[in-house]
Amino acid sequence: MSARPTVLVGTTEGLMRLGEHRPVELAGGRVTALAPAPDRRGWLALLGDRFLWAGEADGPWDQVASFDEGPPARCLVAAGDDVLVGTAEAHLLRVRDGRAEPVPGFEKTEGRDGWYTPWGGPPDTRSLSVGADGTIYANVHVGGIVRSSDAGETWEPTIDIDTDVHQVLAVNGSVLAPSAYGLATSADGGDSWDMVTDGLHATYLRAVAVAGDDVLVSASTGPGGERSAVYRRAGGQGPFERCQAGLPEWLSGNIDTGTLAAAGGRVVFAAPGGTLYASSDAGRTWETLAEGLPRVTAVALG
Amino acid sequence: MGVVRDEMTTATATIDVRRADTRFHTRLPWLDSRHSFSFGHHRDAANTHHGLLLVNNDDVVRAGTGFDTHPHRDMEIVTWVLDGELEHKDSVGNKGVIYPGLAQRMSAGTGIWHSEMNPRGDADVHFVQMWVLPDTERVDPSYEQLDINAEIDRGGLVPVASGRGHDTAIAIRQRDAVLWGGRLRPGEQVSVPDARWVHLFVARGAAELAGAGRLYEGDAARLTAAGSARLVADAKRGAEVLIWETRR
Repeated sequence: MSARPTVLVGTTEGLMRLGEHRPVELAGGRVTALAPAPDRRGWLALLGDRFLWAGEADGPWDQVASFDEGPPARCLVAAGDDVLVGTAEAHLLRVRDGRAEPVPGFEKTEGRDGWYTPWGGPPDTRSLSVGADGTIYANVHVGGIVRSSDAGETWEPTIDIDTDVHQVLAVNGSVLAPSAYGLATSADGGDSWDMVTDGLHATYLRAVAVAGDDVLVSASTGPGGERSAVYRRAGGQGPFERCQAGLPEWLSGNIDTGTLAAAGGRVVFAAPGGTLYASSDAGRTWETLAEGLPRVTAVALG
Repeated sequence: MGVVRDEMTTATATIDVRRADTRFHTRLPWLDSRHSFSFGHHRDAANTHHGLLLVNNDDVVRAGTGFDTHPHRDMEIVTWVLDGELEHKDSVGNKGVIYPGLAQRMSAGTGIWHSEMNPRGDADVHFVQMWVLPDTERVDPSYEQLDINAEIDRGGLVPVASGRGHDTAIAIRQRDAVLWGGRLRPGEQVSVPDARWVHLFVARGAAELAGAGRLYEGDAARLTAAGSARLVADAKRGAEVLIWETRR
C-alpha cells in the first residue's frame, strides 16, 4: 500500500487517506465533497454540510470557513483564489478570506424558476467545475448547467433542463455532463451539446472523470442503480466500452456524483457497499483497493 | 351541475371535472408522472390544492428504479399502489414494501429522508401519491402501512387513511381529512362523502358521477359543498376510486 498514490476517501464517518497508512482524519464528520485547493496545493473538504476544511497534501486539516445559516452545502470548486460552494435549494456561495457570501448573480439566472426535483422538493446545486479559460459551470439538479464567464457576476443557462444532468466537468477543452439520457458533451463551452450513448447498456449516468484523454462514466438503468457499470471511452471518441477486467460483472447501486475520480492514468471509484476500485491504466484493468468502508460520499486522487 | 347555495356553509356548490389529459406531466427515462395540482416546476397559481389536498400524483416508475433518498417536512403523505410493488426506506429506520391494497402513510413532521424504489426488475410500479397538510406541525416523523384488501374487496367505499379514528384505516395527522377507497364492481353504486371539499380521482376504470357525467381513468372531480353525489361504476370495467373528503 505504501507505494500507491494517495487516495482521499470522504465517507459518512470522516476522511481517509489510503496509501499512507493514515488513520481516519476529520473523524466523526460526514464528508460531503472533495476538491483540489486553489493552485492545486492540497485539498478542500466540505464537512457536515456546514464547514469548509483545507489540508495540505501531507499536512493537517484546518477549518477555513463555516456556513452557519442557510441551506446545507453540497459541492465545491476552487475558482482562482476563491472557493465556490453550491448548496441545497440551488444557491451558490463564494468563500474568500474565510468568509462565505452569496453569489447574487446566480440567483438571477434565467430559467431558475423552472428548476425542480422529481419528488417535488427544491433542487440542489449538485456539482461545479471551472474550465481552463476561467468559465465557471454549475450543475443544478434538476436544472441543467449554467455558466458564468465573468467570475460569477452573471450566469446563463446552457443545456436543456430536462436532460437531468448529474455532474458537470470542464476538462481538455470540453464540457462533459453525465445525465439521465447519456453523456452530454460540448466542444464549445456549452453553446451546443451532443449526447453519447453508444456502447452503454443503459443511459442513466451519474459520474464522469477524465484519465488522460480517456473518458470514464458510471451508468445504470436508473436511480435504483440496478445493473450498474463503469465505462471507458478511449480518447474521448467512439463508443463506450464497459470496464470489466478486475470488476464484478455488474455493480449493484449507482456510482454517484463525486465518487469517480481520475488523475493522469489513475482512476478510482467507490461502489455502493464500501468497496473501492482503482486502475492505473485509465480503466483498462482494475483492482480492489479497499472493502468494507463506511458509505463513501467522495473520492479524490492525490 | 347547476350552481346552488349551501345553507350550512354558504359556499357555492360546484363540481369541477379535471380530465386526465389536462394534468401536468413530468417525463423522465425512469418516471412518468401526472400531477393533478401544481408540483415541482409545474406551477399554476390557480391550481395548487383542493381543500387540504395538495398533491395527487399518478406515477409510473420503471423496473428497478425510483426516487432516491430525499427529504420531506410537515406533510402527511399517503401512497396507494395500483400495480407492482414499491419499497420504502426512511431515516427513522422504517422499511416496507407496499403493494395493491396495502395503504402507506408517512408523517414527515420535523423532517424525514426516504427513498421509494421499485424493487422488481421486471415490471413497472403504478401508484398514486397524495399529500395532505397536517393539523399539527413539527411532530415526530412516523410511518404506517396497513393491508386493507379484505375490507376493500367487500365493495363500497372504505376508509383508507383517516384523521378521524377509523379503525380500518391508516391514521393521518389531520383531523379534517379522510381518504376513502373503492374497488367498485361493474355497475356498483356508492354515495360520495358529503363534505366541504371532496376530490374524487378515478384511478382505474370509469364511473358516472351524478351532476358531472362520465369520468374516465385519470379524471378527477373536485366537489365543493356539493352534497352526497351518487357514483356508479362502469357497467363493464368497474372502477377503482380514491376520494378525499376534507372539512377545511
